[in-house]
Amino acid sequence: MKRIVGCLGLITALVLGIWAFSAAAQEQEIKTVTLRAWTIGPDLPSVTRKLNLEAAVERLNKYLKAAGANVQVEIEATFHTGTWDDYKRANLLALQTGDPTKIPDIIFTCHDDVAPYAEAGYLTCLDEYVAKYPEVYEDFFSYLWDACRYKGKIWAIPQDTEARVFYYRKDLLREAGYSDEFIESIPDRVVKGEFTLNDIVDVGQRLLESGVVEKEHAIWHRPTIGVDWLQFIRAFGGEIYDPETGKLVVDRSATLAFFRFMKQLVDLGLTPRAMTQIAWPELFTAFVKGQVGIYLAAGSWQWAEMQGYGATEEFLWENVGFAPIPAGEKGGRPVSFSRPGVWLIPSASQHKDLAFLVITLASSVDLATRHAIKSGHLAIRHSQLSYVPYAENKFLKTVSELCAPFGGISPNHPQATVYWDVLYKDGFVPVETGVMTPEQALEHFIRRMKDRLGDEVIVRD
Amino acid sequence: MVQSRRRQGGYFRVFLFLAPGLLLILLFFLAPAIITAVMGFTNMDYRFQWNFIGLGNYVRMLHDFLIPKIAVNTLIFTFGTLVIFSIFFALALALTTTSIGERSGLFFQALWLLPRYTPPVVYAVIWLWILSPTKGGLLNGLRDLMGLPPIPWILRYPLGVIIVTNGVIGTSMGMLIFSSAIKAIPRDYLWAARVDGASWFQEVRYIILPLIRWPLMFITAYQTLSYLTSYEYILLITGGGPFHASEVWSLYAYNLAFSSYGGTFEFGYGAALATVLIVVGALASLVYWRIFRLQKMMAPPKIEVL
Repeated sequence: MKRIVGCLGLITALVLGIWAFSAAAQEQEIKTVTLRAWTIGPDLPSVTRKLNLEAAVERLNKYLKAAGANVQVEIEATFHTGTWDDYKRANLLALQTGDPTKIPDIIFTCHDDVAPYAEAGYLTCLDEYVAKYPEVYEDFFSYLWDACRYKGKIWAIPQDTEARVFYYRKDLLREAGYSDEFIESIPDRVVKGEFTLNDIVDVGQRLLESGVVEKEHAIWHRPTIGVDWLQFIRAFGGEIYDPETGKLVVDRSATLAFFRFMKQLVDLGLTPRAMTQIAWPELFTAFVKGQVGIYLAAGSWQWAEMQGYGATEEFLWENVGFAPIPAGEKGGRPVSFSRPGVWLIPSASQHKDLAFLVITLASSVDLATRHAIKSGHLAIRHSQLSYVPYAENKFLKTVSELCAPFGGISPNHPQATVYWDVLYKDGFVPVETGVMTPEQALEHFIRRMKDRLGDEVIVRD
Repeated sequence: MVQSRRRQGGYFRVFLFLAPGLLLILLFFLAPAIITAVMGFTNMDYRFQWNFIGLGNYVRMLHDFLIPKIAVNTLIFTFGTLVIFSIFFALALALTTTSIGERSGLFFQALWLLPRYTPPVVYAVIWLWILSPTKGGLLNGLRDLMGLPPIPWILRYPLGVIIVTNGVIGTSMGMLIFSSAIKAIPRDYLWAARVDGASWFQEVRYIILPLIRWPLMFITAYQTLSYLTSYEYILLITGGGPFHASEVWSLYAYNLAFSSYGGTFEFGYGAALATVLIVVGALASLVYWRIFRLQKMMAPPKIEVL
């Protein structure tokens, strides 16, 4: 009898225990949604892109918990430090599979991917999503949305922007005999159109003649393809895009002037003919060490990058000056292109609303500012300008003020990057390396552009 | 006694043994080649649509004014590297490393194998430092020590640079195969020759070279195809520049098809270019097969060594 009671008791206890446990477990059952995001620097300071997404998710989870929701969000974000080439390739190969398990929910890339990806149907149209959060998105600078639009619709959210400048060593200019007053007035003169690309050549020559720099170390420039080179077409008064027809434009006279300018740099011994064979680390090291006087076709984010090469911020303020790319002729307008970084939500994503919410949270004023300061990028929202950490950042404030009036972007045409490629490989590099004269290079450049772009390019005089 | 295999099930067993290898060849060589050839008839780009345009890409190739230059570059690169490095230098290395003692020979062979086993990017970065146009590079640093001005190596000798950088890697394969072939030569021949008063050079010319005829021909054929299609080191070191001076056919196809930073993935045209390469490679193999009479090399041996 005792045994029977004992057994019954045990079984009851067991059953009750299991029931209680499962009831309790069900109450605490939390659903986790995992988002995947791909980001790139490739410069190391830009890791804040990844970190901001992670911070956004932390905040979201905090709010969800406070609201008593049973959902938590996890994010698996990667940060690529290789080249843009491999990153873009990986993105495209993933996107074309159309397979949600292979495609992330958020992709960071530069705005030049918006046009081709939108055209191919890989992206989610974001007009409706943006309209849901006006408290955030109306604060964004309106010109940034141009970089996110293709055929009138919004396909991306601005993540950051930068300005392109040229840097010069103030200490080397002083050694070459320029007065402090002149040196400090350079940015101002550039803005007014009084200091032109011809003046840069003069400065370079004086640096060389006075022996402050060695031969072919007066003016160095970006050694790779980029949107920077399109700036020079604008600097010499040319256009690169026709918004009415939506086609790319080749401006003969401006392009020829640009090629002639590059030829001048090598002919006068200011720039090495093999400039495009010099690797980035060598360029930065030489400039930071004071072996090179002027670094043309540079970017604002490289201020932070130079600090990775042993220059402290105080050192940079004391010895390095910066200004937008000067106009080609006196009285012209200087240029400073941006290549805004953007967030994309692939059309294959299964968590579009959530991904968009995370992006919105990652675009908060403090997170966007943290990224801007750490990596040398510029503000994307009006509120950032009066946000103390940003407003107090001397570099960002100065660069924004100098360059914002002259901003521009590479047109959102699906084949805009072909322009970059051909202008570099089949345009000014043959001139710089001495393979062709500027006139020959111009004809070759136009021929190649027509070859690769067909009807999408218009040639003007 | 050679057993006749002409029994039922004999061929089937042979096929079974060959099946894994055949499957690999089918999956990784034949299938991609066919898909590429078919893609060459489309104008596929980043949109990944199979728009068939017939011979449009091949017509474009005829009008592409860069093609003649690239074809010439490819010929110079392929045969230059082949003759200088894969044959002569490999032979020289094989002969010397087998003529000195075994240990030292193996040591030098191991040294020459290092470039092959270095990851391509590391290899390229090292060469970029060696060839840097400023004093910071190895060669120009040495020139500076001797009071000479720096030379922009890649700029001035683009084809030379790609031949040397690829050759240093390619030479190790020939070296290995030739040295094992040389070691397989029965010592009796060499002793007999030495007893008869032959010099080292005569040994090489009359005994060693004729007896390694097959490996020599094999390496020629194999490395021709190898260089025809290799582009990684050229991409990493010269990028095909300056101004297409060192751009070979395979690199041209790769750049058009896969270079996305400054291009928008012209897969169709790139595939057509690659197809041309496949055809040229196939033709070259056939030519070599005939000229070298490689069929004879594969024939059953006339002597049975027990």
